[in-house]
Amino acid sequence: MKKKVLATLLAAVLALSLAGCNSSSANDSKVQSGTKESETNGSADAPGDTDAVVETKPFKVTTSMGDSGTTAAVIGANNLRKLAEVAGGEIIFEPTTFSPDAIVAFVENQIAAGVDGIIFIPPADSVLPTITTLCEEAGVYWGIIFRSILDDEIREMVEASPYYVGNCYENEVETGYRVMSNLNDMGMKKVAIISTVKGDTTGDQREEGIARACEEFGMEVVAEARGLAQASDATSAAESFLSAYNDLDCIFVVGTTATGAHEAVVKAIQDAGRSDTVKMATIDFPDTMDALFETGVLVTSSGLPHLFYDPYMTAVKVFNTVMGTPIEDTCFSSSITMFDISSQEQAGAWLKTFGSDDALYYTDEEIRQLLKAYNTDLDAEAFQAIIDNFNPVK
Amino acid sequence: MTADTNVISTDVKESKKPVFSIPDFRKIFPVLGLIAVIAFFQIYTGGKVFTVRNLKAVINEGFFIMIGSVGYVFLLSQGSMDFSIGANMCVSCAAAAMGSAISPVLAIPFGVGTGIIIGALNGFIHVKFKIGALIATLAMQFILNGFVVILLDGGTLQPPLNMLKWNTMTLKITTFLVIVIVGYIVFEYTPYGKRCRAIGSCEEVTKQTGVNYPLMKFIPFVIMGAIAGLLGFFSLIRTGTASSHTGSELMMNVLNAALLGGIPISGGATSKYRAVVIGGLTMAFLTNGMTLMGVGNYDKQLIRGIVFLLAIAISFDRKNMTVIK
Repeated sequence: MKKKVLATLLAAVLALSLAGCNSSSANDSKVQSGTKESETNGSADAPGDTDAVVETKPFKVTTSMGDSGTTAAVIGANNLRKLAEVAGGEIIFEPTTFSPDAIVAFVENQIAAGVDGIIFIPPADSVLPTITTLCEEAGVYWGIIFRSILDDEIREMVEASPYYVGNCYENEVETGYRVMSNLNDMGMKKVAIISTVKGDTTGDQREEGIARACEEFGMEVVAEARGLAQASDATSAAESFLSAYNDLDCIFVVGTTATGAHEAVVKAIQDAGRSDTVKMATIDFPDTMDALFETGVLVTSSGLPHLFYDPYMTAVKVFNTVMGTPIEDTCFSSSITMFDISSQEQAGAWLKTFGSDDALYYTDEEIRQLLKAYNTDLDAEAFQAIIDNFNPVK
Repeated sequence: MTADTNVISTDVKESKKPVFSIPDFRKIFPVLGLIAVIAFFQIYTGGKVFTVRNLKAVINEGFFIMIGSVGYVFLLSQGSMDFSIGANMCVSCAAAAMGSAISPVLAIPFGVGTGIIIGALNGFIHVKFKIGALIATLAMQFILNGFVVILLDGGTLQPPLNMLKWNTMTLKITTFLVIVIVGYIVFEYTPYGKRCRAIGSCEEVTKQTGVNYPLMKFIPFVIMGAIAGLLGFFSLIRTGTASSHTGSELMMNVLNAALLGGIPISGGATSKYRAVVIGGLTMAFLTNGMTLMGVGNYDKQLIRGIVFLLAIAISFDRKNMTVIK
C-alpha cells in the first residue's frame, strides 16, 4: 500500500515536471520593448525627437545592490528602474552578502537564471578572474561599481575580456587626502578611522590619501575599526576610540556598508559629552547629513553628486552593450569627481535635490541621450562630458 | 483435546497495522522533500531548473554542502555536532593561500593539514576535558573567527592566478565521487561506522562493549576537520580569495542538508548515509530554485530557517531526549 502511494505520488510529480518543461517562461513576456519606430535621435546635444522610441530587444540586468534601507539606496534603485524602463529592459536587485564566496555564487546563479548583464561590487580584485571566466563562458556582459581594479595583472586580464564593459571610478586617493587636509585646516591632528577591510580597493585608496596627508601635515591615525556590519558595531568602535584616546580630535568614517553608522558615531560622541572636542568627517554623504551638521559634530563630508550615481552610469554602459549598441567597442573607465560639503547650508542645498525617494537624476529625454540606440554620437568622451556636467549643487 | 499439537488455534485478533505510520513518514520524507523541491521549482520557473547552465550552478552549490555532509554524517550519527566547520574552512582556506604562495601544490596539504589540526583540537577538547561538543566547537568557532582576521591582517589573500584553472567540473565531480563513495563504505560497511551509530543509540551500552570509546568519539572530528580543510582549498580556487568571510554559511547549510536528508539530530541507528546525497541535493536545488525565482538573500535565510525547523521537528527522535552529546 505504501509503495502504491509513493509510486502514484512520483508519477504525478513526473507529469507535473514535464508540464513545467513545456510551459513558456513567464519572464520572457514580462518586459515589453518600445513601440515600433522609424527614427532615432542622432545628436548628443539636440533635445528634440522627445517622442522617438526605438524598438529594442528586452533584456535583464541584475545587480548585487539592494533597493531599500536608506533614502540613497531607494533613489538609486528608482533611477535604475527608470533607466531600464526607457531602455526597454529590466533591472533586478539581488542584495548579496559582501564576501568573495557570496559574490561568486551570486554571479553563477544569475547566469543560470538567464540574465544578460550583471553589475556588482567586487569585495576584492582577486575574485575578478573567476568572474571574468564565468561571464565569458556564459556570454554575459558585466561591469563593476564603486571600485577600481588595482592589481595590474588582474586588470589586464579583466580588460582583455570582451564581456567586461568597464566601470566608473572616483579619485579616492585625492578624496582621502582632501578630507584630511580640511581637518588639518580646522586644527585637528589625532584621527581615528572607521574603514573597510584591507584588500577592499576603495578603502585602500582612500587610506593611501590619508597616509599622505598624515605625513604632510603631521597628523596621526591613532586607531582603526574595519569591516563594520551594522550600526551597533559603529557605536562600539566609537565608544572604544573615545575611551582610549582623551586627546582624540576626529572620527573619520572612511568607508562602511553599515546602515546608520554615521548616526551611531555622532550619538556615541554626544553620549560621551565630547561634542565640542571630538568631531566626525565622512566620505560618502550620509542620508541624514543635514541633521548631522546641525549637531555640530559632523564638520566635513566628501561624496559623489549622489552615492548611487556611480552604479547608475556603469549600468548605462552595460545597458547599451546588452542592447546591441555599446558606447565603445572596448571597455572603458569613467571618472566621477567627488566634492565637499562643510556646512548645514550646503547640506540643505544638496538635500533639496536628493532628500526624497522620488528624486531623479535625469528626465526620460536626458536618459535617451545616454543610450546609443537613440544618440548615435555617444562615445566615451561624450559620456564623460555628461558625467562632468552632473552636479545637483550648482 | 486435539491429537495434532502442532496446530494452535488462537482467539487473538490480528492487530490492524496502520497503512502509514509516523516512522514510515520519517523514512520517506527526505526523498519526498527532494522530489517536491525539484518539481516545484521546475514548474514555477518554467523549466529553468534542468538546463545545462543551471545544473552547473546546482553542482557548484551542492558540492560544498554534500562533501561537508559526508563528514557531518559521522558526527551526527553519534549525536555530536561541530559548529566550527565554517570557521575551520575559513582558516584552512587562508592556510592554503599561504601554502600556494610558496608553491601551488602546497595549497592542498596546507589546507587539509590545517583542517585536521583544528578538527583534532575539537575532538581532544571534547573527549579529554569532557566538554560537550556543542560548547567546545562553538568556542572554537569564535576563536577561529578572530584568529583568521589576525592571520589575514584584516584583509584578503589570493593564490597565484594560474591556480584558478584547477577549478574544473572534472576535478569537482571526481573529488565528490571519491569522497562520497569512501564515506559510504566506511559508514555502512565498516565496524567503525556501526560503532558511530551505536554510540548515538546508547553511549553506555557501547562503552560496555569494550570498544575504544574515546577514540571512537575523537575520530569524527578529525574527519570533519580534514573535509573542512579540503573545502577551504576548493573555495580558494573557486573564488581566488581567502577572506574572513569564507565558509560563513557552510555550517547551517551542511546541518540543514544532513537533517533534510533524514539523519535525526539525536543520531543513532536510524542514521543513514543516503542523507548525504539526498539532503545535499535538496539544499542545492532549494537555494538555486529560490535564486531562479528572484527570492532575495534575506528571504532565503528566512526560508532556510523555516526548513531547518521543519526538518528538526520531523527528524527528532523524541524517545531519546539527549540531543547533543
